[in-house]
Amino acid sequence: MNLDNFLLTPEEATNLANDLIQQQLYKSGVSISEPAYVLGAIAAVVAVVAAVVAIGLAVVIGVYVWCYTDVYGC
Amino acid sequence: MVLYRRIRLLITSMFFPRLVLLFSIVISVISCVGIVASALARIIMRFCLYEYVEKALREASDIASIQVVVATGGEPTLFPKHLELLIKTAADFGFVTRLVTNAWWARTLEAARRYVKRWRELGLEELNISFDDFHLEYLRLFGSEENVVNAARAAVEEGLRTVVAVTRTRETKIDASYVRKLLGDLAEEVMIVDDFISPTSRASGLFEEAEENLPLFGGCARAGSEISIHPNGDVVFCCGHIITDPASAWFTRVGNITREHLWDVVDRIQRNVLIWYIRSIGPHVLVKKFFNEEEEVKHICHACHLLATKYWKELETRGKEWVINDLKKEVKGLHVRVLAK
Repeated sequence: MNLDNFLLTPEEATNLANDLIQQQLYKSGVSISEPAYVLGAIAAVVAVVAAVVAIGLAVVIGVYVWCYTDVYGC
Repeated sequence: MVLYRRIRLLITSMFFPRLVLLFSIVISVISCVGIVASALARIIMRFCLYEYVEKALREASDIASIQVVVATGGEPTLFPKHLELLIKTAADFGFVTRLVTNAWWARTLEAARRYVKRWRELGLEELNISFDDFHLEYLRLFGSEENVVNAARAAVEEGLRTVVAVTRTRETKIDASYVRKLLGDLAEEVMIVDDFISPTSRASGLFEEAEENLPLFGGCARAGSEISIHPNGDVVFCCGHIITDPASAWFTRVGNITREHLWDVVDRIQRNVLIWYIRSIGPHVLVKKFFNEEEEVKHICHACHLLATKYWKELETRGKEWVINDLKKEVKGLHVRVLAK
């Protein structure tokens, strides 16, 4: 008795491996590139928010310096 | 994201073991619990081990994922010349080397230091001490549980990674916390591992004392990733509890190092769909789902034992295609069980 009856040919093994990987990754709409998209979207949103905050802060500081300090005055 | 990573790791580890798995060659020198070797084991060692140990290690060094070589048994220190040859040759090939022993040789701290120093000089890196109620019975012939403390202390002093491994039932006295107390301050530098018995082979009479019935999920991480080589040259696809069981050991045999290249055996392991199933889904799932849902499976090795004995004919009749189709179905539902777990 031995397990040789359950041996796959190299071609069968490759096909089965591919089938299982495809099933796992695509069955719930998950794709290989999904994490990259998600990370990219998060990074873009963070970058936009950071830029808006930075510009807003610069404007506020600029107005304050221009209007309320002795250096320039309004 | 976490789920995605887990699924991807599981799939890649199944099919591309060279990338992610840690193979270990286990040279088994005798096959009895305790420290009394049988005459047969000695003969086998004399005529076999010298012949194939270098061959096995040389061929293992060609397989990139094999990184650890373990000398176990039985009690490998009963064959000091064989053991020293194995440690030195494995270290010379660049493997991490591990010795599994019951510490019979460590009656005093001085004796323990002498042994460990010698093995360290030859290249040993890890010492794994087996200690539990079953070993203690034999260990008392050569000392006491103090042997374990001496061996662990000598190993830590020599800078070896040190492990005490406990096998227990629900009735036994010795468990991880017992060992922790025994080792005292040394416990912080020693890894303590405990596992339940599998009610097979010599432990088949301990069915009621074994662990609870296994739940219907969880594959066997050791199948296909820990290869053991036996005194007669047989290569086995795991290092579980049934590898020396008279009734079911055949199930784990996949080749013989004296007749073929190790890579050919590894290639067959990697192409065996039943091993894929055992590794990714679990042998107990196969037993309960298709053969007998009332069957009490107490250990994952117990499930392989049942497949090899009680359910083998039926499994063989169902055949390869059936296993392939069911593997596809099970892998499809795998994430649900991962989440549920």
